[in-house]
Amino acid sequence: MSSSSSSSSPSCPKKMITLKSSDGETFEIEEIAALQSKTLESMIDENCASTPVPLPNITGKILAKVVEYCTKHAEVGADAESLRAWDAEFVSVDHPTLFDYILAANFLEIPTLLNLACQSVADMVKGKTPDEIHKIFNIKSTFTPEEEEELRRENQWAFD
Amino acid sequence: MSEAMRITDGGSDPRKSKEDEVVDRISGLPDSLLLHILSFLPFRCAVRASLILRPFRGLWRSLSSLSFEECDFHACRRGRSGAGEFLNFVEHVLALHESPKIHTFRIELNFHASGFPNPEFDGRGVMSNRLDEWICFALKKKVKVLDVALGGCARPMGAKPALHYRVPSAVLGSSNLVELKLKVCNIESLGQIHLKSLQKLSMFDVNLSEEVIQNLVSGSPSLKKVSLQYCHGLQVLKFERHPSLEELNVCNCVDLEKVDLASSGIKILAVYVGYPLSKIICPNVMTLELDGLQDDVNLDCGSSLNDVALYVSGFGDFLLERGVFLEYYEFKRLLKKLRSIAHFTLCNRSILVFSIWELNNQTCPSFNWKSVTMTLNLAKWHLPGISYLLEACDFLETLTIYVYPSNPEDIQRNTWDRACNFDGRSYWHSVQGTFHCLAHHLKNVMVYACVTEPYVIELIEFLLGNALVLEKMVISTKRNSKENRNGILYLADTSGLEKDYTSDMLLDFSQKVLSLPRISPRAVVHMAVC
Repeated sequence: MSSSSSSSSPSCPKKMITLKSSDGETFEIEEIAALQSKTLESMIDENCASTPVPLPNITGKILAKVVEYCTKHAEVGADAESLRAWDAEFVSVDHPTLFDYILAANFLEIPTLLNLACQSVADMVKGKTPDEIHKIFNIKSTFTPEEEEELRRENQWAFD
Repeated sequence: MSEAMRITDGGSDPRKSKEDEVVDRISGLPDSLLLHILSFLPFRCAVRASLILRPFRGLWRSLSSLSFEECDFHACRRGRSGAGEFLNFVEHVLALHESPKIHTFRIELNFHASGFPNPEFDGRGVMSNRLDEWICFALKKKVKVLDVALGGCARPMGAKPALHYRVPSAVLGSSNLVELKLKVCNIESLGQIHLKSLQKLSMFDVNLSEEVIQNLVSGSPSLKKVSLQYCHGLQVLKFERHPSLEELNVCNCVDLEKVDLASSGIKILAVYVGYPLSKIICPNVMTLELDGLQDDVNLDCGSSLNDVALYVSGFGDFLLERGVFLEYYEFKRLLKKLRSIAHFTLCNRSILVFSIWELNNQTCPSFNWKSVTMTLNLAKWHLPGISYLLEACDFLETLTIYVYPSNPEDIQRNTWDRACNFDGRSYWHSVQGTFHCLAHHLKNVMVYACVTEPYVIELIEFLLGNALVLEKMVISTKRNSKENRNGILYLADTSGLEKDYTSDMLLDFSQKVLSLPRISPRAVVHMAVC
């Protein structure tokens, strides 16, 4: 996690930032947690984060979870093992939500969340046949069986 | 999951509605994100996915971590190096790959198998030329992490080092390399070695010389860590002053007799001590890890040393034929030399040696260790060892124990059982006298991992009931690594047993612990079991 400020002394009140989702909901997040997002970090550095930050690409439902993620990962003294378990729980969600996390993490530049969600999707693809993958993710643009056969033939080297 | 989606998108409706398109989230992602997802798949899988899944079409050519493993293409132990399909795959990827830069290039194959079956055909020569081309490709793409592992699935150390593949000198002049891993190779320093970005160097079964190592280290001004395992050609490993080198791992280098870090600023040293290594000079080292230790080693350390870990994987069976235990005089001498180290880490077998000394009523030396960490496959016969430790460490302030299930495959179980004819559960009730550290110094106790294993709660009870100045006890199911710095497994594998701890068991355990009497009025117990 990159942070421009060193950890504050316990007596300082926690600095909060307000985020506004696409559907008008507002969320408060501690500045330290917000630093997980490179986008928010540069806003904080340039002092643009004093009024609610509008995030027109992210719904309230997803933003709530992103705030939860950042807050958890900003906690001091969490041990690696329990954080890993928490992360695994966090991405045990339906596919649309998982892709929403990917898009939100990409927009807000939160590399840990982006990697976590992408790894989850990759794990679902690993070891499955193309048919199974199409079904799991409801992929509409696919190759026809004939096209797929042709591709396999043309790229025999990859399928031996 | 897909069922839920079918319901919401009006599955039986044959008309293609906007809903349908929204539900296919993959096709809507930008290429950069699809590429990112692809990068989390094993390389060959990513290539295939990208060839036949339309949304990922073409993206594999921009992957920045390339990994080629011969074992993906054959049934191990019967396959030959140079299997046609494997070579074909590599050649195609290298020809079709597009990005100008890559981050990681990894190749794993059995180089020496290319010398078979036809001895008249120069199989190794042909393979060498191929490897030269492939590595050249990687260097041209400014590779940062280069991993050349030429043992494949063959038995380790099976081949003559003089016949290993010779790493091209271009590798030793790359300004982009940050990490270099070589296995079953030959390095000859024929030209200038200049690796200005190199931070990590790992070599396994590499044919070296003292001059080559000197040149490698002095030619790498950003070097932080060196790891040498089973390397040849080094009798003395001596390091001079270096701007950044701080860690050295050495394991079983076949000709190595001496490690001399007297003039070096290296702070962390991990050595697996095996014949003929008999002398280690490390006056500036702060963290030392020693493993093996079958033979005596002359250790010359200094006052900055404050963290020592002792693994004794080199100790074979604990007893002679007639059921009598070995005495381990050298080990005791080594421990006495290290008596003033502040932080000490001990493994299973070290504690078993303590048990032997305790059962043989050997007088206890005095150690000034302030903090001790142990990782144990806890069995009844470790208990005397723990008792010996508490007796020896008069000034112990912090005790940390990682508990794992007792090793059911331990072939010495019966011997230990006979030697320890006491009831493990009431062991602590029969312990005579008081321990100085419990009366005056022990403030923190941490018990981790498989805390519901037998004998743990009795130990906790004993400590809570006798540690007069105890301030904090932390009990949690968190685990530690099963490997040490040289990557040697020191725990009996317990991964299959993780499912045995139900939340009911843990709750029950928590309640028992919290109700145990505490002799120290300041003691606080933190439970983190879930």
